Amino acid sequence: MLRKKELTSIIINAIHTKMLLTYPRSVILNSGNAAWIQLLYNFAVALVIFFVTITAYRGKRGLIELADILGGKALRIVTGVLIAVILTLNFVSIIRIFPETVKIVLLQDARLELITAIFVIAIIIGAYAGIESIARVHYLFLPIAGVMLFVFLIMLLPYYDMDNIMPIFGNGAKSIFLSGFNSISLFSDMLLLYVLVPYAQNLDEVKQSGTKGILIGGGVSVIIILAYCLTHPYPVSGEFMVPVYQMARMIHLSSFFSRFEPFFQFVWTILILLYSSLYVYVISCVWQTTFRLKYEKPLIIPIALICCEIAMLPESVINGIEIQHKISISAYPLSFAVPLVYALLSGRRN
Amino acid sequence: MKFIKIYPVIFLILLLSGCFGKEPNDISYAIAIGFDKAADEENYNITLQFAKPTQISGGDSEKGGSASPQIVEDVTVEAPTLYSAVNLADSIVSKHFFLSHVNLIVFSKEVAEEGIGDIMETLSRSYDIRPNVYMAVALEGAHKYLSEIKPVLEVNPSKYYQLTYEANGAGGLPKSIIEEFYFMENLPDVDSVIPIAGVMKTSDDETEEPESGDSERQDGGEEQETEKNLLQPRAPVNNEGFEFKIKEYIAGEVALNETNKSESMGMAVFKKDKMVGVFSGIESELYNIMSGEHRDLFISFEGMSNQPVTVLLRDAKSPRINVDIKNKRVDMRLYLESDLYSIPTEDRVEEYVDKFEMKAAEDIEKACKKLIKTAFSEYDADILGFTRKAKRKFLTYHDFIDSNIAEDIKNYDVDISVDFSVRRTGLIISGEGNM
Repeated sequence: MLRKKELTSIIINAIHTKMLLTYPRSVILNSGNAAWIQLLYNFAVALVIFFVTITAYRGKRGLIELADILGGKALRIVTGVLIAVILTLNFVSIIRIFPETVKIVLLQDARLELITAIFVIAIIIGAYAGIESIARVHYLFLPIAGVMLFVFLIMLLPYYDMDNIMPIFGNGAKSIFLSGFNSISLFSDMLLLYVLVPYAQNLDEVKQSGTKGILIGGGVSVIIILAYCLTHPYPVSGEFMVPVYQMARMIHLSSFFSRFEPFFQFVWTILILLYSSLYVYVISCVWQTTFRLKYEKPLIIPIALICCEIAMLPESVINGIEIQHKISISAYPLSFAVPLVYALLSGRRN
Repeated sequence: MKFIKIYPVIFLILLLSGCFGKEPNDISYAIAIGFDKAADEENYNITLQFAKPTQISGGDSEKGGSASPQIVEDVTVEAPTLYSAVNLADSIVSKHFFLSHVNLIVFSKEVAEEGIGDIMETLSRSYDIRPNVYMAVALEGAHKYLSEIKPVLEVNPSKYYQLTYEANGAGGLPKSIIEEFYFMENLPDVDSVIPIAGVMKTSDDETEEPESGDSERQDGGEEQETEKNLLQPRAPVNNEGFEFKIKEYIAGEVALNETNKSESMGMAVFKKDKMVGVFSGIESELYNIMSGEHRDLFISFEGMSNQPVTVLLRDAKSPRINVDIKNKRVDMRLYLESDLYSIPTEDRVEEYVDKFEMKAAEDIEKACKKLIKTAFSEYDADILGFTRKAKRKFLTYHDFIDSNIAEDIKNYDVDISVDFSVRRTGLIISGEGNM
């Protein structure tokens, strides 16, 4: 069983981890330095969708069990496979972009295969520890990451310039509110919450954890992108591959303190490892529940390796980022629609 | 079972605790890079100045630091890009060049005038070059400037660059780092400035042949210093009220007798990535004041006795800039305060301090207007970013670009008002009218 705080920590990390990689760049490219407004808008929409879904949700059952009750074996398998595919698509981009980024900024001489192999081994070890351990480490580590983020934002104070977020509506209201709707995909990891319902004490805790998770995770994401917009003028802000790392690089408080990246890289790596272990474990659980298998642990290694193989399909990091963007746009409607449909059906069934 | 758990840990301790790749002893740390035009127009003569750690205090010598000329060494190679130069230089020096400790990038005037966009792209894309590396334009050539670096007070040459270009009290220099320059050259709303580095002129230089783009060579920093006759600086004397009687120096003209012949003063104006002009040290001070980068600085104003009165000038508040698009007008307000430091004996500033404040404010205003006018009319450069300040008057970025204000801003009326006050008089208050 997961405690409420642990479930909240999982959701916070799941939401904001993408902000640590290439995600902010895609938001900036869409709406300019009004990206923070776009994310604020996505945050509000995601919160509304979550409230509607969780209010309609009945019973302490995960989505796959609900599908089984509502439509029998066939619907269970269809739903299970669909959820597994959405989660895999959500996750494979991380498994590719993270090692690529590590190679660029940390281990330039190491081979990508070696970095990926070490990363996957760490994910497998984490996933083997099980959901309780993953959740507990999330709960223990997130406050450390929070303090680090606070220090980071304070150290950036000399670089904030209000002129950088002007004109206030960036590329225009149409970009922010129409094409910008797609970046609600940041919150598509909320799907995890509906899969993890059976691990919570009751539905009320799921509701509270989800609300807190979106508020804190979404809030942190908006703050990160606002800090980036305040420190980097548009259109140059759309050029940097890993915006958060770029901000960490710019910190230079005279000769007193000038290299914040090691602190950042430490937190960054652990958060992404936690996120990845969680995903591999949850995908294994989804397969196990879908096909009524006795154990989920034997699935961890194959799933991690399959995800790794899929992640390595794009030839270059440019293709990887392009595909990631396309995947997030095509997969996110299902991440919200599937739980919403089952939530509505669960109420009718009850 | 216990052993099975322990084995991976032992394995990791044994295999992952070493240094993969290069040991620190195999690396040569570049501390400055210079770009000159090569004889082959397509290439650059790229100078990599690297530190010799064994000569720096605390190095292998165990005797403390060596004299400064022995601390650094230069390697110059002809190459089209920075990293191809690093490749070539690696074959000259036994160690591999590492650029993460670079503190200064110097461009020759020719390179700067031709445009440094490509070089800046490389520097900004690079993972090992820090974004806060200082930049300078050397009017006599980057290699010449770097080879004349002989810090007198600093054992560590990196520290010398940091102290010189961090603008720690050096009012005659703007601060310019590669990250900011990269931003500015890619923005439509602001132009940038870079400090000027120079080498003190000697009579030998007058007869010296101009440096041609020679092939790969290695310059020893250990060459004997020859006696050279220093030329008298040729900078004109400023007779305007701001920095009264101070010469309008540009780097290379400041010092009269120095072991270290390299110096920095003034600023090069850039229109996007191309150098378009030069401002003197006095104008750089004004630029720093107007851009809010100004720190405590001794400034001389004309007193009532036509003698210079020196004050310590500091910002009371950051400058305020308001752009009125409708009336095509820029209003700038500067908030400055000062302490009296040096007054001619026959002058009694304390007795007419209000008049002095008013006159000093007028002098600053006049000098600032002149600088802005020159920047716009001669160099077509918006170095103070007035266009940038106008961005807040628009709702969207497209409106801002479509307004064409970046082109139009030079036709705006600039009004500057200076709030200047004398706060303290030092340990003396002279004059009888202060009772």
